[in-house]
Amino acid sequence: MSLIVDARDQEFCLYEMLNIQELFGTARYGEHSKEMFDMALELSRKITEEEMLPFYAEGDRVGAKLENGNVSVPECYKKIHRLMNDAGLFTMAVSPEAGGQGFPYVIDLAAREYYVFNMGFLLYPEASVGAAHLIEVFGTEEQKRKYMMKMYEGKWGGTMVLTEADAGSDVGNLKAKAVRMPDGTYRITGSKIFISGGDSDLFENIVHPVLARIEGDPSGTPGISIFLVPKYLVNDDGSPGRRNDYSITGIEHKMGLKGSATCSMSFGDNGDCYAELLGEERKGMRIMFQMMNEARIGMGLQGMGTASIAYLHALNYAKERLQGADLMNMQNPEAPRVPIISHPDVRRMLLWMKAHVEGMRALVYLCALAIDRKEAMEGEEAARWHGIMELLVPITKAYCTDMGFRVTELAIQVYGGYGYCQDYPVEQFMRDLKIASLYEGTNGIQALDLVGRKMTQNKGANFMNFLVEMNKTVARYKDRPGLADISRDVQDAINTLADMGMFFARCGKEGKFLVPISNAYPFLNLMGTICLAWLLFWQAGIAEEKLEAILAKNGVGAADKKRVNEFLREHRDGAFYHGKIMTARYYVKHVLPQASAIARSIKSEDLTCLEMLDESFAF
Amino acid sequence: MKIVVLVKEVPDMESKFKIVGDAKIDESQIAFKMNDFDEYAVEAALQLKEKFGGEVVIVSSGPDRVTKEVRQAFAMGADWGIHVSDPQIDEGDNFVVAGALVKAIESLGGVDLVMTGVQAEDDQAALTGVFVADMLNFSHCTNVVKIEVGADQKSLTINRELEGGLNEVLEMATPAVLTIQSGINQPRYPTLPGIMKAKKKRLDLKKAADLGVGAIGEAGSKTKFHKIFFPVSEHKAEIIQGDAKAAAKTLVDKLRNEAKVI
Repeated sequence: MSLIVDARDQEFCLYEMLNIQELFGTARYGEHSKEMFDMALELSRKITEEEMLPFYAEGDRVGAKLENGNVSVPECYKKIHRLMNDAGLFTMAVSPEAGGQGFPYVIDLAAREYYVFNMGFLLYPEASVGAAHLIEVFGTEEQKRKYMMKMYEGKWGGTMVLTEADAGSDVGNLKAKAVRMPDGTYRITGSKIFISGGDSDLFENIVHPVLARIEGDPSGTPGISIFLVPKYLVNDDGSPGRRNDYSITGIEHKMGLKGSATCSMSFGDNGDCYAELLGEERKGMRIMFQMMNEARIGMGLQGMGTASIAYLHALNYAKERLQGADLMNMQNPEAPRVPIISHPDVRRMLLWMKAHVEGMRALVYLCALAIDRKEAMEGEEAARWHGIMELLVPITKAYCTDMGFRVTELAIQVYGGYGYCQDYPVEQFMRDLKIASLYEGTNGIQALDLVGRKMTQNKGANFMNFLVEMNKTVARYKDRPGLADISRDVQDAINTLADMGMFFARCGKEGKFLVPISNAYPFLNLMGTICLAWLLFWQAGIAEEKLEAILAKNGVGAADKKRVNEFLREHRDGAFYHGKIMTARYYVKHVLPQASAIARSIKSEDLTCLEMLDESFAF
Repeated sequence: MKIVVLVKEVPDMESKFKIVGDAKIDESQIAFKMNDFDEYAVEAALQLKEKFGGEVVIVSSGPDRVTKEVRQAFAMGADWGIHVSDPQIDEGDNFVVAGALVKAIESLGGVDLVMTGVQAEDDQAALTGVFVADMLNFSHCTNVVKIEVGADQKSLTINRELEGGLNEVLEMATPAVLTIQSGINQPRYPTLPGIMKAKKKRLDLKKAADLGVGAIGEAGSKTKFHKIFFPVSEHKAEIIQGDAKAAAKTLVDKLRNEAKVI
């Protein structure tokens, strides 16, 4: 069993639930096959387990270092970077025309699921590929030749230089300035913070896309442009030339992701920081948000993938760690010690983790597949699912990073006091994941995006289509013998969500916009919870049909529970499908009820949190 | 150089093994993978090809699912392959399988080297390589930990691993069969471009009749299968108490009279 990803669940999600094999019928992916995808995922598993996981703690303990203005990364990062780069993993979804491998995005994510927990390392190559992609879409032919190819080849790095001390969530407030030179290039001045991989010794050169305002352009986001600032200027023959005029003024000392250098940068201290415009003037924000859906789904993947490795480690520990007697034998001091998975409270934690990990996996893949379908297919269905994806992106980002964090925290709880110690990896999973609720738009910003923009996007059609799809799933499986009761609970929850949609619309009409705004985050949690219940119920429906067929084929009567359990203990697929049904049942019975509590709280229209005086918080 | 690598598919040892009727393992519950030892052989062959040119041909016998392992070797860089697929061969013992592999190798003509793992992880018989050498009438060396090929590409200097950390160094000539010990190299990872190319590489499917394999199945086997079972762990241990002198005396007494081993 892999301690990183449950490969059986991954396969179920991709092929039995989402039917990604339909991509093989498209012109774009006609040459691809399941066998090829299996080999790619196996490669990712192998390289992660053999080459990355053993050095995960070392990256954390050594950390990135800044000395004499230069950043050095933990030495162990260099080999894994070379191996993964040679294998082509970082450019898996990049188009073959640009030198990439041309895999669908959903398979790229499934491969990344193995190594995404190690974001302290991964930010270097991922930021590089992201920056190269911006050049691919918006750069001139010369910029592509000069920068992009070497970045995709992994020789040169890239970053995203956006944040300033007073321009984080409020990016329109940025002060970095660009001055146009007679030759058409620019000179940049300004200070930036929180730049991941702002410098490193992994690359020969680094190309920074930098947000700045051209002198004289309007304030706010409409006046922002984006520039390419290379660490070394590039000579005509492609070799690195003079060192550009910027410096690394510090790196942050963080809770996690310690191997990733989070840099403060000062541009143009000597008035000679060379920059080239990327795309058109004053289109900086639009360019930077080009990849926003992918970037935010990628954050959801970080939450889900880290939760997955934490859950599987906790499960493994709970099966091996002996402590206490069996509940039915508690009074007997001589009773044999049992693995802690036998204890009800530990089982509860493990099932909570499993349900969230598997629900989040389905959500992340569903969104990724919607992007692939839009790219590869024509037609109304692909467009409809793309609209649903747009709606679900803020939930994928925020819900998966918050719930993923809680899964890692529960993993520590399962390990007991040892989980708090650095001898075991679970505390690092938690520290490394915390950042995900903060960067790429804080989860509060995601909630505002959901309530303020996505619910009404496409005149509300995306939300309506989402409700239709959920209702269809319930209709399909509601008469299955084992699912009747939970199908009613899921239907009630969908009705609650529909009702909340109408309630917010009414608030808008009645001018009570503060109600949705101040409840945006609870609402995101409500919708995330209902969304996961839908996905897990969908999976249970498939699993129940398959399990029924397996039992019938093997002559096992479903009514004889004892016999069924004996059979399932020995039957891998049977046990897997049984697990899917149990997981959905647990989630619907024990987690989903929280959605109606949130709905009740929002509908009270209570605005205490706004009416509270600042002066009254503490004394 | 024309190099053949024999690759076997084996169960992932972490699978749940269930024996059906004392006779066989329930394969539907098992995940399969390439025999680790064969992976070293593939890498060794690829390194020789990189140095001397030529081609690396993968030959594997087994049911349809073994194509996964052959394509894995393709993704590492092997050129093409032969899949010997016949249930009656699978029912035979190592001798039958070796006979079928030999027919496939002979169909290639003019092979310089045949390489395979020193043994398979599942039955650990370490027989197929030497059977193949004998049937081909090639010289062979087992437990190979180092290979040097002379400039003529015909003379080989081979290190063979012995017990106790010793090596013996042998000189031999091609054509030859080498069974490769683990640790001889670090097998490369496949690459994504390699995986994409692997799908298009030539893989010939051959039945026993196509290759002219004679005796197959139980009739062709040199061994007779009786039964398969999990060894019973008996947990018998006795701690002899008392001072050392008396305990030693008791121990000798027990070894002589109860266990009857001295």
